[in-house]
Amino acid sequence: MSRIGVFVCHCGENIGRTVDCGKVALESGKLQNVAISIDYKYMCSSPGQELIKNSIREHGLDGVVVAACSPRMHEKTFRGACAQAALNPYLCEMANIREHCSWVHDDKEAATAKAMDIVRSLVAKTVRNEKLFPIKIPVTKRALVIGGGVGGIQTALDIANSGHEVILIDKSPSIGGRMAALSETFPTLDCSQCILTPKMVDVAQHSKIKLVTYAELESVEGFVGNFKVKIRQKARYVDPIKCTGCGLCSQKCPVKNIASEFDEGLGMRRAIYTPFPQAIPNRPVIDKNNCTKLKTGKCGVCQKICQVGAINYEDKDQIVEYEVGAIVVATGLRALETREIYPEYGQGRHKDIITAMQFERLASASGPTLGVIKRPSDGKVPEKIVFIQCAGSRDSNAGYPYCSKICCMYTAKHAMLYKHKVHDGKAFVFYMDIRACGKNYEEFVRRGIEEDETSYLRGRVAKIYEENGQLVVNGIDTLSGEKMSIKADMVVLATAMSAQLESVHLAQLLGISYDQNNFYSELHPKLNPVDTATAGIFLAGSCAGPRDIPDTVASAGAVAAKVGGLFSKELLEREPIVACTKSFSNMNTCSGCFSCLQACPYGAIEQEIIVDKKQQQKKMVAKVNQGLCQGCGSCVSICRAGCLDLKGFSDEQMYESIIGMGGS
Amino acid sequence: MVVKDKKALAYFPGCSLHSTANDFSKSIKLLMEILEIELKEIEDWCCCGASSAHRINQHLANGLVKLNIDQCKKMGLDTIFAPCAACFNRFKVVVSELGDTTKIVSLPDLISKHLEEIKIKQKLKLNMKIACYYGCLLNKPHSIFKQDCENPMTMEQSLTELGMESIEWPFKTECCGASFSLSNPEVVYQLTGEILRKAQQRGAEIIVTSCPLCHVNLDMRQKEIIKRNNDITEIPVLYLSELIAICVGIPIDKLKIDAHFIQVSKTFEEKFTVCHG
Repeated sequence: MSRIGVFVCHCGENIGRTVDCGKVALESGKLQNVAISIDYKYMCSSPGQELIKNSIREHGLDGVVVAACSPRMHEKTFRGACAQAALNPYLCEMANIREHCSWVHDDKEAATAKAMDIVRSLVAKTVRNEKLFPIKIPVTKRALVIGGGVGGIQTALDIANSGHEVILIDKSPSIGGRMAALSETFPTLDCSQCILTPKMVDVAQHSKIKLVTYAELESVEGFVGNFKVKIRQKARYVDPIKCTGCGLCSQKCPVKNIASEFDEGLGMRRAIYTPFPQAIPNRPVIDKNNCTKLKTGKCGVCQKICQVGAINYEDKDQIVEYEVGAIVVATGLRALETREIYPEYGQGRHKDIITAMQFERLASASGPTLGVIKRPSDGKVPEKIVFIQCAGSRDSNAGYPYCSKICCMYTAKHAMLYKHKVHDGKAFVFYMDIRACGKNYEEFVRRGIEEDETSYLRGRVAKIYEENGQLVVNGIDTLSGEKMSIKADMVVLATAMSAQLESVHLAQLLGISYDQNNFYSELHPKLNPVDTATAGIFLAGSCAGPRDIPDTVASAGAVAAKVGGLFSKELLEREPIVACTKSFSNMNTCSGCFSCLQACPYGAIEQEIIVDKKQQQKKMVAKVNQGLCQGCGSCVSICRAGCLDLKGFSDEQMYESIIGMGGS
Repeated sequence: MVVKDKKALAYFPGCSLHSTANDFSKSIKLLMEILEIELKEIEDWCCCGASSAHRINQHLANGLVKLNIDQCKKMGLDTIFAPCAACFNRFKVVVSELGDTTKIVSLPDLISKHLEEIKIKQKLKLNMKIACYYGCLLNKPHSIFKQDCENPMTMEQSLTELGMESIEWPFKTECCGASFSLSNPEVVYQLTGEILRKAQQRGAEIIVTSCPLCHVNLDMRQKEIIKRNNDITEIPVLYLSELIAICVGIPIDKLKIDAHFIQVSKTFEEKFTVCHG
C-alpha cells in the first residue's frame, strides 16, 4: 500500500476553465493508494510548491502526482520541490491535464472525466516508481574546437582563459577563416584583419591552446566528458618546427598559376604556399595535387632552396588521438556560387560578374589588387556597379528558402567602400527588403543611401548579359513599376549563405542533427541555442545558420560558458532515465541478436562477454553505456527477448498506467 | 548509345501542326521515318487547352489534356510526343499535377535522346552560326521542369554534337509576344524585334526554334519588324526538325521550307557540307 499525494493545478484558467479541478481532486482522493489530494490555483508558484512539500512531510507521502501541465514544462520544478522535502525526485510524476486535456477540449464534463483517467493512470504508474539516482560520470577537462574562423578562435580563447585546455583544429593551413579574408566590417568599417589577427596571435601563443591546422576530424567515440577523437593531420611536407617562415620556397616555386582559395580565385598562389601573409601558423604547406615533385618526382626546387632543411617530400598523413570532454563545432558556412542556381545571372560566363566574397578581396588592402577596385576582365576601375541582394536566398525554387541574414549589411558596406574608393562611381543595389536589424545597422544603411548616394531599387533582376564590353542588367523597380535596364561595368552578387559541403558528413561523425538546409540543429532554438541534442557537443557561429561577426562572437562566448559549466565539476550528473538490462531470476536472457545495436541512434549499446566459472566465454550480450544513452527507448521496443528496460518508464510502469487509465 | 527498344510514340499534333505549322509537321514526319520512330496519332484527339482554356477555366483545361492522355492509354502507349511547345507545356503541367506516369517529350528532348542514331545517319552539317531559340514554353515553370529554365542548352548541345556552331546569347527564353501576334502585333514587333536584334548582334546567321507560335512571330512578322528597325536584317528561321532533317539527308525541296515567309537564300544549300564520320 503506497501513500501517494495528488495535486491538481488550475493553471489560472488554463485548466480550470474546462476541467472541474475540485471534482478531480475529490475523486482522486477516493483512489486506492492515494493518501491526500488537493487542488490549487497555481501549483507551480511558491505557495503551491510549499503545499506539496508540507503534504509530503505531514502525510509521509512516498509518491507525488501533480496534475497540471506537460512534464516538459514543469517536471523539473516539481521534482525539485519533492527533493527539498526529502522525497526521491523520481517518485514524482506529472499528469498532463493541460496540453493533453483542457487545451484541446470544450466539453467540461467530458474533459473532467478525461482528466480523471489521466490522473488514475499516473497514480497507477507512480505506485510502481522506484527511487532513481543521477548517474555520475568523470569528465576530461579538455575541449576540442573544430574550425578556426572567428567563432572557433573566440571559443578557444574564452575556454582557455577560464583555465581549461583546448585543441583547436582547422582544415586549412591557417586559422582565420572567412573573417581573415574580409575587407572592412559593418557597421563601424574597422579593418577585419586589424581586429582578427591579434586574436589569431593570442591563439598561437596561449599556453592552454594546442593549435592543429591542416587537420580534419577522423572519428569520434565516447560520450559527454569522455570523448575519444581521432584527428587526421594532413601531410604538410614542411616541418613546422624547422621552418622559419622565411617564404623563399613560395617565391621560387615554379608552379605559379593555381587559383588562390584565399583570394577567391582572383589571385594566384604557388604549389608551396601560406594562404596569406598574416597566416597563423606562418608556415607553408605543399599542395600535393599541384606540386610537380610530388606528382612526377621532378623539380625539388623548394628543398634545394630551403636553408634549414624543412622540406620533407616523404611526409605522410598522421592520425593523432586525443581525449576531450567537450566538442565545439565552429565550422562556419560557405557562400554559394550563383552558377549553381541562377544561370541567367551569367556568373562564370562573364568575368565581371563576381560574388560578394570576391568583392571583399578586391576591396581588401591585402587583396590581389591591393585594395583598388578593378574589374577582373580588363583591370578597369568600374564607373558603375550593380549589387544584387538575395542571389539565391529567400527563393524556395532555388532550394534556399531562408534569409542569409548578413547580405543586406555587407552589400550596404560594399556600396559604401566602392564610393569611398571611386568618388564619381555609381552604385545600384537591387533588393527585396532591407533587413538591417542590429545595433547601429539601420543607421549604417541610411548613411550609405544619404551620404554615399547608393541607389536602392526594390525588385529582382531577370537577367544579366554582356554587350559591347558592359554588362546589361535587366530588372524591375517594383516601387515605380518601371522596367530597369542598367549598363554596368561590374555586377556583385550577394549569394546565398549555405551550409558547408561536408556539414552532413561531420554531423554523422559527431552524431548531431542537422536541418533541411544542412545547418546544425540547436537543442532548442531559443532556450538552448548553442547546445546540440548530443550532450557535450556545442555549436558556435554560422554552422547553425548564417550569422554576422557580433552574433558569432556572442555564440562563441555562450559556448565557452557552457563548456566551463561542464568542466566545473569533477563528476557529471546525468538524468537516470536510461535503458538497462533486466534479469529474470538472475539469468541474463539476452540472446545476443544485437537488434538493439542497430536501433540505437546514439551508439550506446556495447557488447559484453559473459564468462562461466572456468573463465570460458559463455555468450556475447548487449550492455547499455549509461553515459551515451539518451533514454529514447528504441532498444527496449526492438528487444525480442524483452531483456531491456527503460528506467522511469519500465514495462511494469507502462502496463500499470494503461490498466489504470481503463477503469476506476 | 543508339536507342534500340523503339516503342511507338503517341503523336499529338495539336491545332497548329494541322494548319499554320504544316511545314513543321512535314519535317517531323519525314525525320521520324528516317529515324524509324513510329508515330501513332492519338485517335480522336482534342484541343490541349492552351492559350484560352487554361486562362479561363483550369478544370476544363486540365480535363481536355486528361481526355487526350486517356486516349493515348487506350492505344496502349505510354509516351506522348507533342511537337508544339504550347501543347507540350500543357501536357507536362497536367501530368505533373495529376501525378500521371505518362511520359511527355518535346522535339528537343527527342533529338537529344536519339542523337547517337542521328550521328550515324548524318550526311550534312550546316556551316552557319545558329541561334537556338526556345521561347517560354519548353522549359518553364521551374517547379515542374526541374531543369535550367533560364538558360537551357539542350538544342545547343545536340547541334554541337552534330558538328554545328551555335551562338551563346541571353535572349533564348525571352518572350516573343506569343498570341499578341493577333490582338496587338505592335507588342510582338517590339519583343521579337529585340530577340532578332540580339541574335544578329552576336553573329547569328540563322535561328532555330521548336515552337510554331514563336515561328510565326519570328518568321511571319519579321518583315514588319525590319521595316521598323533599320538595324535588323532578314534572317531565316528554321524548325529544329527541318535542320536535322536536312542533315540526315532529306532533300530540301521535300520539306516545306519554301512556305516560310523569310526565304532561305539561294545559296542556302551550299552552306551545308558533307559530314565525315
